[in-house]
Amino acid sequence: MTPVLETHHLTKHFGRIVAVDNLELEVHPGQVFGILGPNGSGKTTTLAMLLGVVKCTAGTYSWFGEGDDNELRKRLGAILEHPIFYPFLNAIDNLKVSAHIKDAHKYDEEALLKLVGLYERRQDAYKTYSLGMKQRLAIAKAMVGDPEVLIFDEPTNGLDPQGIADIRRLIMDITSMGKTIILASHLLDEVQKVCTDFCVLQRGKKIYQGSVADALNHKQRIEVYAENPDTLLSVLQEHRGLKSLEKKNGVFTIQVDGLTTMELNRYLFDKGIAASHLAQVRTNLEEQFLEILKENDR
Amino acid sequence: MIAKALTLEYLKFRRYKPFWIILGLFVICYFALGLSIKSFIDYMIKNQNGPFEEFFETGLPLFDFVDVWQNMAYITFLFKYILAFVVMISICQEYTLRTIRQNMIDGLSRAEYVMSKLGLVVVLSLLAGVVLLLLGFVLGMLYSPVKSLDFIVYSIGFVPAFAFETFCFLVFAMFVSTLVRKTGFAIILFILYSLIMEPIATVIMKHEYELATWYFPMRAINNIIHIPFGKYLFQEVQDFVKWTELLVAGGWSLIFIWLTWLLITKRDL
Repeated sequence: MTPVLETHHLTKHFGRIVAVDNLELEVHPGQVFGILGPNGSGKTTTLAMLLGVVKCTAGTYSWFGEGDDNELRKRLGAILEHPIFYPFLNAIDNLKVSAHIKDAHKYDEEALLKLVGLYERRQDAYKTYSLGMKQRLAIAKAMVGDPEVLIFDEPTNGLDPQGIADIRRLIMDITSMGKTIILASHLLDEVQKVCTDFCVLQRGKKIYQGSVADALNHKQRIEVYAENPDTLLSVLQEHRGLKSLEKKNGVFTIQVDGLTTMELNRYLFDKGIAASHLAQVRTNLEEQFLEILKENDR
Repeated sequence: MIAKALTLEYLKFRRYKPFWIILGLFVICYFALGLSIKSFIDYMIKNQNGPFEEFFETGLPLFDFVDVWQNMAYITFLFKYILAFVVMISICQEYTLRTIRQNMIDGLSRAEYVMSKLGLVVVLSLLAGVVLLLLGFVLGMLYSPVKSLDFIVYSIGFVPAFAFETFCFLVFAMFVSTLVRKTGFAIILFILYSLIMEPIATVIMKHEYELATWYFPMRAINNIIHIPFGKYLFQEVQDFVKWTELLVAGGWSLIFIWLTWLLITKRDL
């Protein structure tokens, strides 16, 4: 299957600063692809290059395997950084400008504005909108012309909890429509909740790429406790796949690649230990992310 | 592509009130100025004294057909600035609002963008031609002693010449605002260059060093229509449009369009 997006050696220098360094990305149809990175790691610059508004210093990218033409951008829906609209135009007229540029002559503006909950305010000038409404209008605008790929850059930046929840729900709704989504964020939680795949950028370099499910399962940790801690300790230490072992308040937390709680239970039982507590520790991407960044800093 | 570019510009500005107010005032003031000249001259004739005495004795044939087109085109040259500001606001605003960036993200090509701004320039230039045509016609019909068709159309070439002059002028405004990107700065720079810097430079070059100055952009553009009033002092004036002068001005507008194109294509947005 042709990837939706491919980049090769994508690089951007701003004077002496290397904003994006030799980036290789591949996004496939149907993925919800997260670009994760701290502020200033090159996420927006990368997207700006992919959207043709910032020139690449070196490297190439290709949308739909066809290149980097502006015609191809009409098949994308994108917002970069913050929403950008004509402040003196209302929601409908702003969408009309986009639709006109995209040659999207048939589009249902009412349905779009209803989807993002702005239908009631459609006749009001954009400058009267709250930040949450502006972000939602940006999502509606991105959807104009029914694009195959949607690109969101920090879509929940600066929003209150309700606004964040609204935007996340919207993105989930859009995901269920089967569109490919590229989401740049510094919020791990967001990527974890929304994305299927992700990469991590640091100082313009890709330092990790994989599926969210793998990242979460990869370093599964299990809490275990038994009547006789000393025996338990030695038995655990004998396990061949053991990666780490911590003891806190008499409870051991171990990490073994690919080991399920059931397998561990069986292993302990075979060694004559009956665990009185056995639980999987939910890893979150946050810990993963910080670990990846830490590893890379060494 | 041209139709698309023009429609885009219209969609952007149709609800931008300052744009329509400025254009409305432009048309009103244009006619107000033209129509008030006659009363001003009448006043001078009535209160004739001092150096104007003989000059106004018989009244000036400012509005006679044949002459009226060139006279009005010349007198109203400052109005080009208002249209230039409209162009500059329209372009700089795309940068300050960053909408040019969003336009490109939505899939507008750089050529389409330049085309849309050129479209605005052409429409405003046509507007300048139309108001001159209407004003000249009205004034001539009111005050000209001769009103036959061949007199009316004899020098009517000044109307398209005025539109072309405006076009070149607005193209320069388009270049300056694309270069500078900030409305206030662009407008001030534009005024300083066109009204002060270049005129001073050309005067020094011409009178101190006897160098040719015909190739300076503002001079070339404003020189399409020559000062007509010398003829009322029995001096010889150029009362027609020279092809060579049109070519120089046209050459400059091609250069400014090309420079604008370079700025749009080479710069990050």
